[in-house]
Amino acid sequence: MLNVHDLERRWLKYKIKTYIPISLISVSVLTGTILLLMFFPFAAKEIPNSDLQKIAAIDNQETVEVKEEIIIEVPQNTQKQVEKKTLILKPSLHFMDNIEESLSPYLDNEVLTNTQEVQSPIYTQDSVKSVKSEEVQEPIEKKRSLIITKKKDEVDLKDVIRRFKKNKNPALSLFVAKRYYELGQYQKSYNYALMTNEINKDIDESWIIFSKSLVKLGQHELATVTLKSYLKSNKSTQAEILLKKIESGNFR
Amino acid sequence: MRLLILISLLFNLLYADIKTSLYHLYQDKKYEEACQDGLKVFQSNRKDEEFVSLYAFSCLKADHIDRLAIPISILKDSEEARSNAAYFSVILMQKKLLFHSLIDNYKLTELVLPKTDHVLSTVYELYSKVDYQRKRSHYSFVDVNNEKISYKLYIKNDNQNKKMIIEEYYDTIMTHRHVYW
Repeated sequence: MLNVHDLERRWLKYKIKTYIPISLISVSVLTGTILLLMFFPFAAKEIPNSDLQKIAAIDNQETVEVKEEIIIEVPQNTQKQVEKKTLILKPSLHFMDNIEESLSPYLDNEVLTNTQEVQSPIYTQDSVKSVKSEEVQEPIEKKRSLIITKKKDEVDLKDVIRRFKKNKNPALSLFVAKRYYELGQYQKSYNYALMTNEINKDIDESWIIFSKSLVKLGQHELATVTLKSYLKSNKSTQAEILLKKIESGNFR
Repeated sequence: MRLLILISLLFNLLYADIKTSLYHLYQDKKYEEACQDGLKVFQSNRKDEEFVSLYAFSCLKADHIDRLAIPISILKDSEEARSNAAYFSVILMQKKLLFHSLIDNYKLTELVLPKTDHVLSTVYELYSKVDYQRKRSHYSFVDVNNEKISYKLYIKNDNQNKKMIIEEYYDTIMTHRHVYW
């Protein structure tokens, strides 16, 4: 006789075994789809705008609208930025300094010719007097040393001017103005004092040199007006003294 | 050979003298003369950016704005030259736009251009804020930074040629009159 119970149990085991791979596959597919559904929306958000625009250009009307919005927004933002900050262009005149520097060799030549002129009478005096060679050498050396120091001053002054043109330091221009005033070149002294005042309006010495140069150039009235206007905004005893001197005629 | 050296030396001297004389004219505020002299020798000196810049600034000061067109295209080798070329081109463009707008009622309100320190730039900025639909024969503007300074802008018909006039006033006294065409 057949053992029906045993056969039924074996058949059940066999059936279960046949369903295992199908069920495993279906479970893995299900988990896979769930996972995909979970992560798909986040991945879609990370797509860049350019890709969205490409997708939008294909056929979907809704995405076309998105594309239009993006394009419109960009110029609006840039316009706002432009309205806030308008660019200011300024001329650059540094090339003028280069031209001026290129003119300086002529000045050097002038200095050299002046020194030669000063040296020449020394030799003539020597030849006329016919003094002993030891005695003659001393005055020549003295004269030469004097000339050298003057030339050095000129070179130094040019160096200061060159530095001022690069740095626009008012201390340098004031130094140049003072130096030119001492040398009796009042027009140049006036120019450099004016430049100093333009850079820094609160330097007493610069205003004093400026006014003194004006007086020396015969502009007494302008000098007094300048000093008076300066004294309105600043307290300077030196400027007051100079003003009194100019008005009384003690400074000419 | 000697002749060639002599000619080249003379040429160099002449070349240096032109730039120097132009520089002195500019320093003496003889802008019109500097611009005219520069124009005569422009072709032979067009490779020298310092000369071109000096010529352009002289012409700008002498109100010969159209003459800036060639320096704008030439100035490009150094940073300073490029900066000056941009400066000139803005002024030239603002002049042309103002002229076009005044005659043809062209709308300038939507244009945002860079500013410069030149009077054309100042007037352009003030004019661009005016309602373009209200066309007038004369426009009067008050300077934003100084109430005493004002500008008058109008078109003058001079022998079939239309000229744009900008008058600068300080306390009702005319200080400058610029004529552009």
